[in-house]
Amino acid sequence: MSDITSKIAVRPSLGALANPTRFLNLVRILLPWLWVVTIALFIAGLWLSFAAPEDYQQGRTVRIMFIHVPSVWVAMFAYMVMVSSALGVLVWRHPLADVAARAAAPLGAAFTFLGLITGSIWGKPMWGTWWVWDARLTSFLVLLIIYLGLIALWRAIEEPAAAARPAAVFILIGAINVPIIKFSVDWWNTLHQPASVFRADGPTLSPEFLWPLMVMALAYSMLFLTLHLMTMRNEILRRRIRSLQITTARRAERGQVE
Amino acid sequence: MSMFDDKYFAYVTSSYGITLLVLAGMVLWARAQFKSRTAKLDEMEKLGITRRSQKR
Repeated sequence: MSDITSKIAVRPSLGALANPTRFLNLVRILLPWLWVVTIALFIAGLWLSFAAPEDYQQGRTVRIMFIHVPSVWVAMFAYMVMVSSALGVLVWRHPLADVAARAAAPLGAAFTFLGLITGSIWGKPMWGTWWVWDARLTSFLVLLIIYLGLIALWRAIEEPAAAARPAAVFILIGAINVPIIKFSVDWWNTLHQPASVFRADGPTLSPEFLWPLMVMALAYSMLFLTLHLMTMRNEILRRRIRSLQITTARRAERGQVE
Repeated sequence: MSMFDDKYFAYVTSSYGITLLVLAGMVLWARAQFKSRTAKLDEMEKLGITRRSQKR
């Protein structure tokens, strides 16, 4: 048996990670490696981004694309992680599903915020305005509001078990917004350009822009994965502290603690 | 023309700067939370408040 499997006793199923202690051990082993890969991808992605030529129309502002587009993709990916976690709560009742959903929300909100801000900064020189209420921008702003609403819901209901089901239902209702964001540029006339990478007829970006974009997207995805594991670990620890505090308070009430 | 003379310089640097701040902020926030929570658990353990699985 390899060193890793002997330490964490991995079984080939998601059920193997249902035990938070086993999950924490896995995170402890994985995190340093994930950081190495993430940092290497960011170095490669930034080098490619700044080595890319200027766009004939956009000039150097095309470099904003290499940070704006991955932010938007990861913001939507984070939401899909929350959707699968919500199904984990409602259907499979996996013990870590609610932890995963709650841990992804602030990260998703931060990436959505970044997508909005970098898009706005890119829009000013290219469109002549910081903001327009077109379908793509508005639906993406709605995503940020959904994230903030979910964070507020989790904060409002202190007991994690009581918050899990309403939050999961809220997440599944909010999932309607994800295809709206994706297809808004096709369904309505928008100032925002149509999709140029994920298209049925292939990407329309030239390779000197596509490569830096894809490497940066990979770097952002790895960063999200790494941060998600960190925030899941933090959430497990928060629940342990809370549970210990409640147990201690109950014992004190019963006079069992001196 | 140098990069600094470019009329778009402020837009590119501000977008990268804000991105760096937000990404670094997320990392620092996650690390700070981990440190404070492990410190809290250690403190509770010293007071004898432990989970059943930790009791020997």
